[in-house]
Amino acid sequence: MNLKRAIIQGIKEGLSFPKLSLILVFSILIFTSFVGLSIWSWFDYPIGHTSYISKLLQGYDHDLFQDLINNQGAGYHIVSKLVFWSIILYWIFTPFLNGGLVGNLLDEKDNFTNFLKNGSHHYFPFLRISILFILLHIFILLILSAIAFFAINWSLTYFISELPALYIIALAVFIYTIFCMWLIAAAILSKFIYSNDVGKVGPSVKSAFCMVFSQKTKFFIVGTIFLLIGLGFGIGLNLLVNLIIEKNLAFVILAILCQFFILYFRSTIRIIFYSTYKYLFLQQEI
Amino acid sequence: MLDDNTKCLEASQKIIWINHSDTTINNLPFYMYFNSFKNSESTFMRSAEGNIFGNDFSKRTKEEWGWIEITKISIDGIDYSNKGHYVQYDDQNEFDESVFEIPLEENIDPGDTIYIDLNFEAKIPLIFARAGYQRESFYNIVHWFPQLGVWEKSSEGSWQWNCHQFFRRTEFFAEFGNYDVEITLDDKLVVGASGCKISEKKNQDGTKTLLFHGEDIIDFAWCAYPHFKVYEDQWEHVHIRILIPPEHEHLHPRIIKALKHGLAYMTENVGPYPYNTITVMDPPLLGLNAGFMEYPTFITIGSFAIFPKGIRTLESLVLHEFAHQYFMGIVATNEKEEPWMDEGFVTYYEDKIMEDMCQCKSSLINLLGYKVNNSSFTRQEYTSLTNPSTGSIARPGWEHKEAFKGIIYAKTATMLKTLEGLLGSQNMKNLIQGYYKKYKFKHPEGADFKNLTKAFVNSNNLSEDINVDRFFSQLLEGTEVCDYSVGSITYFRNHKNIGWFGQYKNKIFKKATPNELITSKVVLHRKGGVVLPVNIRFVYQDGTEIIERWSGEENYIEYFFENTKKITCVEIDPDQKIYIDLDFTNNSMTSYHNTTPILKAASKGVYWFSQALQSMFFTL
Repeated sequence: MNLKRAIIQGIKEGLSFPKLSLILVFSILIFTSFVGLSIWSWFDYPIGHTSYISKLLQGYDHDLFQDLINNQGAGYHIVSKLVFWSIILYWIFTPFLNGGLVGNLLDEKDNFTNFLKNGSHHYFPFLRISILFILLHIFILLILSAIAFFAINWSLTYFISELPALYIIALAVFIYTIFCMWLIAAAILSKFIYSNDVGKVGPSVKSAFCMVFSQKTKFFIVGTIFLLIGLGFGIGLNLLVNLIIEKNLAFVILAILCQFFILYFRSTIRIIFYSTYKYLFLQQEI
Repeated sequence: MLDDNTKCLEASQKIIWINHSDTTINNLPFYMYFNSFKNSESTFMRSAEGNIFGNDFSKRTKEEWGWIEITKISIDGIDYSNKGHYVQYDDQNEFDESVFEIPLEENIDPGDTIYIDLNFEAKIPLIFARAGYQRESFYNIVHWFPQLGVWEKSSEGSWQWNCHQFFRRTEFFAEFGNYDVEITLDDKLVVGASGCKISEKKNQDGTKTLLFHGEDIIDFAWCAYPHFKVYEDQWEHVHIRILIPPEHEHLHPRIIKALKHGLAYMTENVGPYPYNTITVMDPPLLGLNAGFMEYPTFITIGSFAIFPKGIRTLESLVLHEFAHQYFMGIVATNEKEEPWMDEGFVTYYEDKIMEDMCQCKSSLINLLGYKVNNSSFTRQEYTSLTNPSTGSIARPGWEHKEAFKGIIYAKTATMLKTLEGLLGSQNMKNLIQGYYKKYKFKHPEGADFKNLTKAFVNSNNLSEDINVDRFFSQLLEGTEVCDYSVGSITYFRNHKNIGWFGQYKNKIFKKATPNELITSKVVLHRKGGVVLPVNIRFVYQDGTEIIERWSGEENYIEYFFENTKKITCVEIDPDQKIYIDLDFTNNSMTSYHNTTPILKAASKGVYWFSQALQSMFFTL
């Protein structure tokens, strides 16, 4: 199976898991809705009974937000704290989602029970994989940032323009993106390897890295394709949502539905992405 | 003559000065501001608290400090070399050499003209507060020559010199004059300066000599850098010259567009631009500390190679510095004693020009749905201060220890926008045009502007809209804040004639009769100490409106409306004329719950946070 066929298979399979997409969307909404509720309270308590809040229907209003932050700082503090803790909690929960996702894809079953079973079964090994890859991301970021920092300092001392410094930043971002593509590929593959046959975290990760580095270009290309698809559709759909001027309740509800659809679409892309890697992995197995 | 190797200036200077006053003068003070960069004990450096624009100066080498010395001086043929001394009028700091005084052997009588011939040498510092050099032969040569103080009439009526020392928080104040400046420097350097370039000739030793001429200007500044690209344009009679490093070259159309709009706007709304040139210098990143400053017909800005079009801080900066040509350049207020009179006015006009240029509510930033108006950002700088009552606007620059920008720039601009709200836009335009017409090429003080405003209000029968004395005493001299709020809206039925009436056998019991009239009670508060008249809009449930005027005198006021319909919405200052109100969110109240906008905000928050979470952890 070549790369093109793996992607086509991935797309076909990804689209045939609508329940899995919904599970992913709702699980993320559980976490983010707490933030939504805190935003609701932040606005509702001080200005829910004012005409001033109607300005929000015309878009972002700097005076309103600034006055709210100045005078209702506690509400803003609660929102920001909740955002922070939701990120942490969602990260802790993510191995469960990935366990369910990988399990359902390998079992080729689009049902909730199987998702729960696989999610709970793979939770702790996937959490360890997650921690390992987060540490790898941080390590690469630190190394790259340190090199970039010294290079930028050097360039600002020896060049008259800031352009070389900007090129260094662009190069660092590019290199990080390449590493990201490989790390992403290795992270997903190690989960498939773990679930499919190995059953141990260390050897799974090692096999995944061997697989990625034996076909570096292939995994970089597939990662880039999905990154571009994700970005392209993401930006396009967000622009479409922004076209909806939410001047009354009907338009607000319409925008919420569109936003839900975009989140659903992004979850489907995630499944397609995983599915493509599954086929690339199975191809190696064969 | 500029020596590019030693970073030194050697110059001769001739000054012709006329005593226009009715008072005899027996001394001459000169600004010698390069001496503020001579050591850590100058008044400027002492107030810098260890760094200038974040640059630590403790590791500077001897070549990186600066100084200026008059090596020879004669006045009307009398030699005064070695007869002057440094004076510290303001703080008695004996180490400060920013003002040099020469006691005269022969007095200058009223109407006399004196001829001063002097030679001076100056060591240019590595950039301190805009002035100085940077590597690659970048120079910004400002407040660089011995400059006479201003001989002016004090508020008590006596004539005296106004020549303050250089403080960290003060800028410049000088007399109008005509300048002919000849600059000799390395041929490779591209030069920008105040005034117009009259001639340029190449010398045999690899240098060139440029002659600049400026009329009716209060200072002369110049810059040089070998890599500048020069762009020139024309707006009516004004020759525009942009000096920009190659890496910022693509930004020059934005600078020119903003500048042309500024010229047109200020001409239309304030008064004609009297000079025939304006030069804009955008420093390279290495010389950024020379940016963000105004000199007569010469301004310095600051930009970056990547500057998205949606971030219009570049235009805003160009317009701010350009507006200084009017306020402090032409209407030459004292930037040291009354910094609000230039920075505040200029920030007000920066906001106005930006909003006029963009014709939108996102004149400063419009990026990825984040939209900020210039005036909104200015107001935020004031309202977000930890303590908006931290001090009054009307203070000398050296007295401002903190919140300088928030008070001097932002509160003043917001105060002027409030003044505009109370007077009306056309009246404000007329007032400022009158101010400009009366005080151009003069040195007005804050009291002059206040008196002019008072006279304008009286002559235009606007005294019902504003009490000028009170307005300025509260907002300019006072530290109180302005904050109106709606306390509550409640309803009740006014039952009359119920119960027992009369005595003994004539007692009659009256039952309640159906009363269709509902009384709406609205309570308003003035939470701040500032009292300004304000309009209140009351909206009935069927949409009909009543506008009432509240003087704002009371801390607390109640309004009662008896009608078959309820008052469902109250708005204080519905047109946001009182822009200086600290909190707009408490200026209105509705009896109904306004959930749709909250739903929109909360759903957007959920949506974007969900997107972020998906992106962060989709593989981990």
